[in-house]
Amino acid sequence: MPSATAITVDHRRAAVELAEQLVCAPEVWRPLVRYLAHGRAYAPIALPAPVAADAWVITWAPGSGLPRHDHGGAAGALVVVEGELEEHLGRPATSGIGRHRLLRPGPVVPLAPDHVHEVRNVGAEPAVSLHVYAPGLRTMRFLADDPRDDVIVEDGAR
Amino acid sequence: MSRLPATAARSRAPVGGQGVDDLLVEARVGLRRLPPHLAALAVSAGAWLVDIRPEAQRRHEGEVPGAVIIERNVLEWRLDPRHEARLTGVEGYDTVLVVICSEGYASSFAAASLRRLGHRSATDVIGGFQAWRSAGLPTVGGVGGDAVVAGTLT
Repeated sequence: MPSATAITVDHRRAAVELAEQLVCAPEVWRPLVRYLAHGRAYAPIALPAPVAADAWVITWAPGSGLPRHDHGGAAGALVVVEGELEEHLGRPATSGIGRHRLLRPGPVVPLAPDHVHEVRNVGAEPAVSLHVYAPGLRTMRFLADDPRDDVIVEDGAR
Repeated sequence: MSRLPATAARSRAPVGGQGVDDLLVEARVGLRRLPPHLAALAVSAGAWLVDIRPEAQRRHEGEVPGAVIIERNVLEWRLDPRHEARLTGVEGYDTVLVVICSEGYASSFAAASLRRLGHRSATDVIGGFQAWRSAGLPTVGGVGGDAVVAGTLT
């Protein structure tokens, strides 16, 4: 019947659309938020059948973070819904070079399939964020000790 | 056809008669509607995009490549796995059906009807074909401009 191959999917835009929908539907993820004294709490968000993507809500205790990583080639979207997160782009935060930005509740941040970043809650309050990956998150690679540090070129730094 | 002023029409509606806006809200309860790129993602994962627009509208606006065309007046028969008038390939309820119309209103009624047939995850495209095209998703054909379906402009 239908030829699914006729349509090329823009996974990043699909992920952004889903993240925007989730922001407007806190009843879906708010019950999954677990505040911890330390570290991060992850919970997968159950999505209805038509949505071929993965979504997570992550609660970040003050001082917690996720070292530099990619998303295994999946496109994605990220949005902070409570608190603040600091995102370091490209080079390791410890290198003192590379860019960083503060993410606050507001617009959804699209993540390209080759996006590499490090995310931390540097504030005094917990932070909550929604993470969407399309067509799904199969793997994440942690790059903190990768000898190729100097050659990884990040989205926007080109 | 002469039209009554809205207030007069409302005063004459029988008890329990609902306006179409109310019916639409009702049809959308429980419907997890999809914006265009999420709909395309669903299709890439095996969902059927069911185009219910009339032929004249499809010709005018264009079509989505790979969509399953089932006009609204035969929709339920073609997609009822229990009915002899079903389409080939409609053998059960596992396939996700994503309905698309021109602007995303009629499709919500259609999706609600498909859910009542047993297609529990049936849904529709927010903004319909117009939003699909505006989002830069692929279309074929169409002659541009506004579609005019004879006699129905109000």
